[in-house]
Amino acid sequence: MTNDPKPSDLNRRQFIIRSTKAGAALAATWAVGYGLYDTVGPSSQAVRQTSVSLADFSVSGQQPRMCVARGADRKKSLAYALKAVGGLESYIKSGDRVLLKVNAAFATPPMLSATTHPILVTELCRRCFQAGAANVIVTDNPINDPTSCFTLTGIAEAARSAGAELIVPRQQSFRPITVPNARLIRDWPLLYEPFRQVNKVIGITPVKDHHRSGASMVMKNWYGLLGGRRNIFHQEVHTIIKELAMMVRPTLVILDGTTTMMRNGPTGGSLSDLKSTNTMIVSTDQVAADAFGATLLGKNLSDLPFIAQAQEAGIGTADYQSLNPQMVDIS
Amino acid sequence: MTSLINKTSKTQTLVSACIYLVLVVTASGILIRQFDLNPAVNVMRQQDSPGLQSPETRAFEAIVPLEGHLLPITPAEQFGPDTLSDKINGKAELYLSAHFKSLKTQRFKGLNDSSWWIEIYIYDMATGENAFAVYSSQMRDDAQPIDVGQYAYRTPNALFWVHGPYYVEAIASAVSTDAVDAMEAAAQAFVKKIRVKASRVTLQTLFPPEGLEQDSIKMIPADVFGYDRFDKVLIADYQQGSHTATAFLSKRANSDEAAALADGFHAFLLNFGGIAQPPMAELPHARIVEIFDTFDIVFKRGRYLAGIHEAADLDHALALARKLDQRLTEAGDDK
Repeated sequence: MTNDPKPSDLNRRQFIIRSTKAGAALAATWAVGYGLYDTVGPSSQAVRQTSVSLADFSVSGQQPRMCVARGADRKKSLAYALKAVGGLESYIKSGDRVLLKVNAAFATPPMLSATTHPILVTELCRRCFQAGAANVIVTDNPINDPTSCFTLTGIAEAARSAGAELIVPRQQSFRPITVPNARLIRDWPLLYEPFRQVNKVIGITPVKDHHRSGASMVMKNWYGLLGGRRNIFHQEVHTIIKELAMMVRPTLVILDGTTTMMRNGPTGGSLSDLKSTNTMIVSTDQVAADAFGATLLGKNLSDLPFIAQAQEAGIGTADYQSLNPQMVDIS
Repeated sequence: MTSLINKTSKTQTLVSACIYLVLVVTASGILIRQFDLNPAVNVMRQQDSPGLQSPETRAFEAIVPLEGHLLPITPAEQFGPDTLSDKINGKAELYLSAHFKSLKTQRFKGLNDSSWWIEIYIYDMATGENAFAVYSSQMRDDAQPIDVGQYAYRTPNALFWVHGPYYVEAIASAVSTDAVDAMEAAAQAFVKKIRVKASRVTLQTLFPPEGLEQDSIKMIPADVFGYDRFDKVLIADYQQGSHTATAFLSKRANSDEAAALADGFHAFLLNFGGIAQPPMAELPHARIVEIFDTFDIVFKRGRYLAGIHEAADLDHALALARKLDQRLTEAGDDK
């Protein structure tokens, strides 16, 4: 037995009612589809979103500390320098979630020293986990072809082999940010997604010559957190670097001067652009780290106005000697 | 009969609800995904955008079919003035100030060797002079000249050359003889297949040869010596005993422009703490400024703007300036 009506059971009225309903359903479906159809396609403009701000990731209650380790072996230099500033355990506690902001700006091999060396990435990730970190995220926003940048620099593999998570920026990773008292970073897209998940931030980057700013070091490294057409800031490069330093208050910064790009930066391209300077700087003060890094490039503070500007903004001190930096010679 | 038609079982209602639910979830998924565009699509859009399909595309076609040497491992990428910094970041300013038109890059690997790869950058600088400017201003200290194009050299891991309006870099991921051989083959193929109008920068022959450090000759595209109106200036270093100085030279559109720039540079030096010195009989039309314990001399000769920069000794600087002036006088406006 079945309750289904036979076609012959339908009378004319019922047929018209049901046909009308079916037609209405079709029309409604079409109307919804038409209403949702995006005739323009996705825009390159960021979707209007609420502004965000970054927390202060520095460890409170600690005096600024700095160490300059001299040696050709990056792993050893890092180990000694971290120990000299109190050990990574002084900054990374059990359960911390750590963000490593590397420099992966170019899809170039590690040999050219245009990007953070993968050996340092692996070693630092490993040490963070050793200190008790629950998670380590590695990220940067190379505008052109991020996947190639992370792959060819060796950073992707370095992060993966150490158990860290690599975040490759996507359109939805950005949120607008306005830095208080800043003139340039106002309502500008920031690579925010990685910051949601962390409570500690470490910047790690090589020392490089830079055609526009004179040097690319710790403070300039935050440039890779910006999205949008950020190249417009090159016209006011010293101001933007200062504002980037105002934006990010890191837990620790690591400036790799094992090999310094002395000229033709920030891309370099030839081994001839490089010089073995065998120096690793670890500091809680990003301004002091850059001030010391300038000496590796043979430059002084007048060559790099952003350092004095950052000091004036109260971010740190250009007088790195005032921090009584530990000088460690690794033979 | 009516009751039979309208009555549906609970099972039917449940199945219908499930179908609707699946449809809603599917529609929602599609809706969400359309805002999550694959970055590759954006890259494709950039490549397809008007203005980027330029004739320079042919340049790579000269390299790509290098059988026995190179195999493309990534698609070619192209950048214009608005996107150049996406590829080379802060160095873009150097090229933009030298009237950059476009950049095309691609990565290759050796056919039988996966231990290295190279990336080739082909910059179209519009003119040979512009190409020479970016080439010479980045010249490496350990450059070894090679016989490719109009100007070329190699370093342990890279080749750099100028061919007509193109400035080309080939950079290897490792120091490898095979990689260098492949890059040289690519360079030769490029020069052979891309026909250009040869344009050597002949102005440099006007520098006096005595004491000239030949490898030091560079063309600075813009902001020469920090003066924003100085562009396309050739510079050359001189070592005369213990004395060093930099001679500079630029051919301007006309005599008035050369004179105006000489005046402007003189004022610029005074503005930054320079002290004007009295004219010297050896070169009466030259302006002399002492600044930060060095001497700058600037003068014009016809369409040429010339001078000496940061000379430690005034007598040597004047002697060099006089020789330079003499050669400019002899050359007239022909160079």
